[in-house]
Amino acid sequence: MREKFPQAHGVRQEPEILDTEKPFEPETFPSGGISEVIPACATSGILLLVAGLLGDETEISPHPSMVLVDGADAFDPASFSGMACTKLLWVRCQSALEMIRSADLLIHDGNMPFIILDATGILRRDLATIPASAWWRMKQTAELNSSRVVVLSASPLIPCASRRLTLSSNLTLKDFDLPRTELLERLKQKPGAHQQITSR
Amino acid sequence: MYVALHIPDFPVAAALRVNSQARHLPSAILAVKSPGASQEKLPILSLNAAARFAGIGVGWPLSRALVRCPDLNVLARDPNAEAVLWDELLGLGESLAPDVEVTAVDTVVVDLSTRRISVEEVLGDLSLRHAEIWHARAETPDLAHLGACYESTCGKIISSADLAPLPISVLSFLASRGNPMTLLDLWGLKTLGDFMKLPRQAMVERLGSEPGKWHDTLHGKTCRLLRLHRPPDLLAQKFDFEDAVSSLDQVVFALKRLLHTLAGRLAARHLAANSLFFRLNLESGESMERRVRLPEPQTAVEGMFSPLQTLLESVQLLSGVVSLDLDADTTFATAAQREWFGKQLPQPERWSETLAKLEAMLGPGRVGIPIVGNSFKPDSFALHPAAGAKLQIPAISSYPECPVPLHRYRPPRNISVAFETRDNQPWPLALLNGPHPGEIIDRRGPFILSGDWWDPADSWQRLEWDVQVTSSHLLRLVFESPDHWKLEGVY
Repeated sequence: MREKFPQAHGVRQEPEILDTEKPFEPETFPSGGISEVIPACATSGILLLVAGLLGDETEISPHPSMVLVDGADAFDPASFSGMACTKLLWVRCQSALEMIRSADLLIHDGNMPFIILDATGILRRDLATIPASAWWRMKQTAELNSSRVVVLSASPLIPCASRRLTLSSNLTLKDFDLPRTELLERLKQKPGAHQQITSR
Repeated sequence: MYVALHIPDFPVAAALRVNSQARHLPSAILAVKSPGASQEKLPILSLNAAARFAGIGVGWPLSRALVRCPDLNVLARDPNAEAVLWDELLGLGESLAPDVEVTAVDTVVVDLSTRRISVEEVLGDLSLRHAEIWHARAETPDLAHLGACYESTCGKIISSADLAPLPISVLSFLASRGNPMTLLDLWGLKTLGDFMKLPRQAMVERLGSEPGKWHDTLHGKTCRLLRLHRPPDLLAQKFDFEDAVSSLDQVVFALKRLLHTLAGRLAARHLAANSLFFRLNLESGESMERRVRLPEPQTAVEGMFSPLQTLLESVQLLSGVVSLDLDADTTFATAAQREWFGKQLPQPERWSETLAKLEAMLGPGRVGIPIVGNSFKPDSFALHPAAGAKLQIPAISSYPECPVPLHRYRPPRNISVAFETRDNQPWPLALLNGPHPGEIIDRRGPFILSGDWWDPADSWQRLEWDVQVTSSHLLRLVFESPDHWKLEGVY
């Protein structure tokens, strides 16, 4: 009865906590939902998001704490520190279909609370073959397991995204001489760099 | 009640089994030859009945034995034949009762207390091919052992009185250290009966506690526990199909049967399976084998079957399966509670199954923890399995050279580039085709990279640029001699 009529039992939804000071913490993304991150321009450096989430680890992680479902098999381990890579389970897919199926398995599993789907390297026509029902089903499973699912895509893709972030860091080659921590700090400080739009 | 089975003259009996021509000749085996000792001086280790009938004794030097019996046949020890004979002796013991002790190389003692049917008739029928076997029964294992080692007492139910005529040298079977016979000889003791008549308390005061234990043993006052022989932990099983099967359902059915047996054996030994190995032997002569690491030690059939079933579902059989092999690596079952402060997976069993499903769907080498390779070679990495062995990476971990992560093209895209030559090096001006064509408006580089120069087959050399084109995309451009331009990724 409590599940069926939560209002009658005084069960309140937890308020959504949003800490804009930490744009690259897993807690940024809502639990039990799908978030979408899209680049505002061609030079957004969207994988800086993954770098920020992995952090600058100094110890080997005993278990991976997040999964990257790499739709286009484009992840470059050499772009991250060896210790940070130990936090990550890399699932190398070759197509949009493989990516969706892999993500579905991992979300159903429930062992990994944070799952990133990288769809940026997949062609738009392949992404269009994914039915909207697949995303809704994924969202329902994520709700059941309280998983945080983040989809990186080149354009808006998820019809049921709990949160959609636009990353517009507008990098140039001069930024390549700066340390990564400074780029991440700059993303936090620039008001336009990390916009967020909540859509339900 | 205990029964001891003994093969007299074990080394020579084993050697004569494979040497049929010398079986009726006086034969002997010498003790191990020490460096520098001549063969004539070596003592006789073991001899057969014919040699003993000729008047030769164990411990005689060979030269003396040859004087007494010039036709003495000197045999070499045959370890393989001895192992086979030992196996047969052990098999005979296990056929009587399950609790067997390997008391000596040539003797086993069997506990008959668990046997419901009388052993009388069975003992009379015990036999080994081309080898004599002696047996004796007693209320204690030591009495049975001593009785079985002598022809005069074998075949009987031994009591203390039966051992009295045996020579005092029999005590060497019981002695754990030193030679007790020297002092006893000086005392004029010739038989066990003489020893058993000695007052125990006075003897212990003079010789120590060990002769007191012998005294108790010979009087049947102590009955020690057997050091039970257990077969080694072999968990390998094989299932042969009567006809080659092409359906995986039948394979799964057979696999379940093997897993039930495996679970029973593991439970009997208080162990758990750490990893499973299975092999499908195909009708074409090929075999398909997989090793499955289990996330946690498993003893239940369900826990072991689930990852195997997932893997089997991904197998495509090209020909019929004729047999199935299953083996397991064991470890101790986890009985401790989980770590309080360490990270643990909520459901490790389910995690392993999910990983197996992913591997079945994507293929091998597509799921794992990325380990950056110890080389500057482009796209050098390894994937470590996410479940199972502990992660080991070099102490000096790698750090990225570029602050912005690369979105890599696998394989790199071959493109055409307009370039000019500056300082004998190409200088890119524009990308003519590929996913991001356009004029290059900014660039970093060239970064000269090379490696494996000591190996002509694997040596590589390249120039890399980070470039920005008019569409504002940031790209990694690579030149490899003589004239190959590649787009390696986008930032």
